[in-house]
Amino acid sequence: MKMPLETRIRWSGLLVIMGLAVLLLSLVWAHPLSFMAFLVVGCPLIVGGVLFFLWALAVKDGAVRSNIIVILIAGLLPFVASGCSGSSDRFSSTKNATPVFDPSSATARVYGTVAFDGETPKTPPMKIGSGDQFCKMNALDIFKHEGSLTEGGVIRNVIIYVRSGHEGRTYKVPEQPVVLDQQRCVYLPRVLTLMKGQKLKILNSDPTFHNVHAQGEGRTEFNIPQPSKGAEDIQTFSRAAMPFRIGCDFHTWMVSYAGVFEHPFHTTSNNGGKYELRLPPGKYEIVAWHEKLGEKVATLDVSENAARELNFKFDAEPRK
Amino acid sequence: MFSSLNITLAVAGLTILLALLVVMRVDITRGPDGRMLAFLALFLLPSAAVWAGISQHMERAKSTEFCLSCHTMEDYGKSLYVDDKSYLPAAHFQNNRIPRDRACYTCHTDYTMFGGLNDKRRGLSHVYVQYFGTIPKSGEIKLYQPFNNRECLHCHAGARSFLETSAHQKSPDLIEKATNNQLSCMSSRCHDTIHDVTTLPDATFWKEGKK
Repeated sequence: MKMPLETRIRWSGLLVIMGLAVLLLSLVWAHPLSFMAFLVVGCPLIVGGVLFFLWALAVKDGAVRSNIIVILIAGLLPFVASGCSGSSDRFSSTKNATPVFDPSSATARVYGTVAFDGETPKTPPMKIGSGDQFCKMNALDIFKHEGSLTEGGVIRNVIIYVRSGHEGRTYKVPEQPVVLDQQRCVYLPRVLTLMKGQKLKILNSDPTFHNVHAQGEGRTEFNIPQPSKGAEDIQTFSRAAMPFRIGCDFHTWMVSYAGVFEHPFHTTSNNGGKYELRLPPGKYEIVAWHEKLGEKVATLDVSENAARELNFKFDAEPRK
Repeated sequence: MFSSLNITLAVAGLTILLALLVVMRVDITRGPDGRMLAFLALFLLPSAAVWAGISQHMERAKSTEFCLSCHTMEDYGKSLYVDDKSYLPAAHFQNNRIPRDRACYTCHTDYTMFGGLNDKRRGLSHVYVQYFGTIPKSGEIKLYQPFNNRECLHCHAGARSFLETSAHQKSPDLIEKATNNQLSCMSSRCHDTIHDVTTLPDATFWKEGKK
């Protein structure tokens, strides 16, 4: 198909005129819809006209090559898409087309012990300000709690979670909240795991002022005050991250870590260093994470009704 | 006379006229002068018009009128007129602590390099929700993330009233923690009456110019 140069210029002029007409109309009305009309209709028309004009000058033989039209259309698509940017993640009906997974249908059991190889590190002494009498009275308990390693070469407070292998399913957020309490100026538990959007019930059992400041990847997720005993707040994490650091800015030794995930395959090691995960059949990358010792990673294949032992061993090297 | 709107309208109008001339008398593009005219009418001026149009719309999107043109935002607009100085936005709005014609944007933008662009991106998704999504009730609307003290401190940082007020002197490190966003101005329960649109049915409203 041949298209003379003058015809091409005429068409580019018409596109530009139509786009500018939309621009003029959109400026009459100060409303979000007019902004949208300009972005979605006016802008692409004007830009299309300009590109068509440049193409008209560049192609001398006048042959309309289909690949160039494809390039032009591809160039315009981002402008059209920009009008709907930011909305696709909220309103895509196809996004949730994958079936919702029921965790109780996971029949494979992965269990094990998290061990520590080496001499138990000594916890450095802590300074508790003289101004806070309540916390000062409980200094011994605080000091005991700070030591994250148990005797006997096993480690408690390790987060064990699936890093990959869980994809392709949709997971329902549990309705049961996870509880984080502040008792005698320490957080209980020291580490916890939950799903994105799951409720975290935060309690203050101390007759003193605490604030609960959660930060992940350098951003504050929430920062709430709990000025007196009996305070209770519900918070949720709006994003998955590993880990969130939860701390009290008034009592700097008070620290807890929360692993927040898109899936339900996570747990923490208990006082005996033991843990257990329930998984559907598949191949998984499983991570054990400790606040001071870093992480260990293992890959595991599990089948239906399988029981697989997976032990982790950390050495005394501090994490980098 | 030389407002940005007028300049934008002039550029767009002139471009339409020149483009119409090129379209209706396309034979003039056979000569070098005609080619130059076409280049001006179909490349330079339209590019300038797009830039001016986007700038114009971006500026208009900062106006209070623009934000409140969505029905969902009406209650938030009403909350600016509550006759109670404990309502933080109302106290700011009624006492000109924020420009009234940009009341929403002044507080609800991130004062960061791409804060304004991020606001517009979110705003576009709000428009989509308004017409194609499920509109939340006004009392159920939440911020995307906790309000950052940075937005308050954009004006208040270093101000004598902020530094020396007795409430801010209660704790020796309160100013430092607020400045570092470690202690939220709002959710610390110090300045926690914000728009509170659910209380509007029982509220009385300030009428400008009347005591």
